[in-house]
Amino acid sequence: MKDENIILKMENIHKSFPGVKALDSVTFDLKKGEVLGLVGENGAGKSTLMNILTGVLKPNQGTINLEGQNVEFHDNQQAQKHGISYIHQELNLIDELTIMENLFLGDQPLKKWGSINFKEMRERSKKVLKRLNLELSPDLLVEELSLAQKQMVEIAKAILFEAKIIVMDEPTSSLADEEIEVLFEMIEDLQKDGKSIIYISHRLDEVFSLTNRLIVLRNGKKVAVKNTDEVDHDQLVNMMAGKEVAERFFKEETNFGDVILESKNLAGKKTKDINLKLRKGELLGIAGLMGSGRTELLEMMFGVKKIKNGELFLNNNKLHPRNTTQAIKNGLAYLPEDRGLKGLFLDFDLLKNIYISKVEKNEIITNEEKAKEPILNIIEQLNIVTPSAREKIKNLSGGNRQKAILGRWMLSEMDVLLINEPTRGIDVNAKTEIYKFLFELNKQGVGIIMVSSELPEILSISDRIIVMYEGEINGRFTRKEANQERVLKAMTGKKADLAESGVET
Amino acid sequence: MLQNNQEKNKLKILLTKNKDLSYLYLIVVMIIAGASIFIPSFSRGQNITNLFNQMAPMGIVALGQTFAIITTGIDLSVGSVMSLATVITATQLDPANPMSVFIVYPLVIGVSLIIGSVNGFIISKFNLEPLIATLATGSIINGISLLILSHPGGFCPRMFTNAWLTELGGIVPLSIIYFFILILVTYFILNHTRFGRRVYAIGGDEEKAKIAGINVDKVKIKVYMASSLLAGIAGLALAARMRSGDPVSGSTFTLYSVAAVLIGGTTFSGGKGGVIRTFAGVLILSLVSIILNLIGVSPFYQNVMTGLIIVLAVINSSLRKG
Repeated sequence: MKDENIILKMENIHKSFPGVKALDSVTFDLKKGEVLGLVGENGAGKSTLMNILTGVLKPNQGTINLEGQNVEFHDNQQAQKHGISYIHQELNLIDELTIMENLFLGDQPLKKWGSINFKEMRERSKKVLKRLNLELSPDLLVEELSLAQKQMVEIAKAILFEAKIIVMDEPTSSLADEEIEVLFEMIEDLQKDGKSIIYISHRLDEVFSLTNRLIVLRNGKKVAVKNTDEVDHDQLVNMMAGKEVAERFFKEETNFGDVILESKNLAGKKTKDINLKLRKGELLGIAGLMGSGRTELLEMMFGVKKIKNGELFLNNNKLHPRNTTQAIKNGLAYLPEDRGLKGLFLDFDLLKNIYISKVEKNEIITNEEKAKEPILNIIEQLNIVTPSAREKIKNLSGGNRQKAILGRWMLSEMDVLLINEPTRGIDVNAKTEIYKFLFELNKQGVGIIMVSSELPEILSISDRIIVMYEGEINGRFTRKEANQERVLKAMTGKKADLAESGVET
Repeated sequence: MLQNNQEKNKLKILLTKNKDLSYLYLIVVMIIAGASIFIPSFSRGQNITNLFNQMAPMGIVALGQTFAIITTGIDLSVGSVMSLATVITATQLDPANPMSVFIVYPLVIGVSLIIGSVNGFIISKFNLEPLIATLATGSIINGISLLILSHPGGFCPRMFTNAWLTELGGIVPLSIIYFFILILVTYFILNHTRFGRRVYAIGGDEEKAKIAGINVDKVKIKVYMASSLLAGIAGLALAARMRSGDPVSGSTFTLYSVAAVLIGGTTFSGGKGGVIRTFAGVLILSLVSIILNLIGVSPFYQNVMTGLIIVLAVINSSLRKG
């Protein structure tokens, strides 16, 4: 099947990392002027594939054929010279330099005597910015730009280097709706100009509205290549997840112990009159829209945010969480939302990353060997996929990293776990394992308060649910009473039928 | 929505970029004005010459330090390089043989470049913290200087010192002229050459610079070579001023060079700053030092003063950021 229109063909691409097969015989082609969606769950191999295309990684096997020629790139500079530009999710612009310096970074036009020809740089930058309808001065510092503008500058860079293929990795992840529209218009223009775009996104609606064809990866294997209009949403999700996803994963009925954490009329900057009780072995889910005060509530309990009014009791003793160190001493643990970014030491191995909070807590001299056994158990229990406990954590996939952070808390003795968005952005299997882990903690008598934006999650794994709206509790449900409709109502401020359960106050 | 108010932004950049620098030079002018009014001897020719002579070595070494700090690095070996330069100069110059200057200059420059490339090499290839790497090499160089000349001594004949100390119009020594020329040269390198812009890019974000195709290791090696070379030249100026060699004479300059860069507003966060800023820092430091001298304050208090100025400068820069 010869096709004149095919600009790029990647054939039989294999790539292994220590202990992990990242790509297994992936083959696909890209046509001139098309937008090809690259979809798959975290760890499916999307980034690896694109890194191979752009010369950042080398494949163990396989060929890249660009416009009929087999090519091999040693770095992304070379790929760029061949007309392939990669716009990373975290944009590759240097804030301290001007737009034009970023456009020409590393390859500035020179004058006769070897000094930089700023005039030419400015002229050419203006031209390319104008082509993209950007009325920005080339002399602006990049740090002055909005995220959307930075994205446009990246695109300008691709055009400047006469890219034929532009890879965009989650370009909309931090853009506002209007900005997304502008980006989409630009992509259409690029397409009309005959440029090919590989579009990676988790947002399936975008993938459907923007792409001509789709390639689906799962566990490093190509699952399907389809014309976008031949698949629907559910089919795509199933292709990505592999099996019919068990949407619901219920917690077994457990017996609760005494009340361990109690708040009376707790109030902070955005919250007021919070009364709640948490029992040993209970998982209390907190639902609410962004800004409903759910995060502040957790942070007040952990001593991050100031308590303005009201009282907190831990095991019937009054608690004054003035700072987080004290909260940890008292037996509280908190997993914030952005732990994936901040909580890990990427250059440390898995074992150290799990061990580290133990060190902080109560040991002067660290004794990793002593802790090794329990950590190996944790790794097994959480089913962390790794070649060994000594593998650097940066070599693990997102879901496995997340599990490693959770593993940390299994080492420490805590009574109460406060957890914020435990499964954001990780795949189904990893989610299931994290749920199992939370249940295991419950069994050990730990009380858990979980904030989550994912309603199915809240509904399926909580023993009780509290719904927050504009800083106040606007609904309390037992698991049996709760359903999607009721909880949603309460989240959006409607007075839901405030169900009273036997154990609730 | 993506279109910015261009004019407003240009003005904003101009202000945010240069406001604090204008303040710094305003402070310099105020110090000079104040000193001229309240200290009669300040504007006497001899004192101005002294000021310039003092400023030249500190200024030249600070120019080199600017390169290192822009890349988020630091070069703590510069003081030792200066000492070594004075020792080489004072021991290798032969009053009987005028040709010996043609040995001394290439020798000092060559040795400085070698030290710089070693610094740059171990920092970039072995991923060593610049702080540790240059502290260590500094100690080694210091030892070598002491092996060559264990106590202050040696002699710098006129044929050498004249090239640095000859006073134009009876006031302006050549050394300060060299300093001004070096400011222009380093300014040009940092702002108008690919190498210079790469220095800023690396300081801004090393990883991103790498992805953009910049050979980060090569640039870093050159940065430490530049820093060391300028330290060597500063050492020549120092030797001329002392008319002799001293194996520890450079040690205070390490702190002064870092101080001048920081006072000028170039920060350790990297990617920003430059030699015009460093010049302001050099002016402030040398003016304060000479004024304290003139009003008879003990040199010990001068150290206290320098420390306080650095703390103030750094607090100011972190306040501005916040």
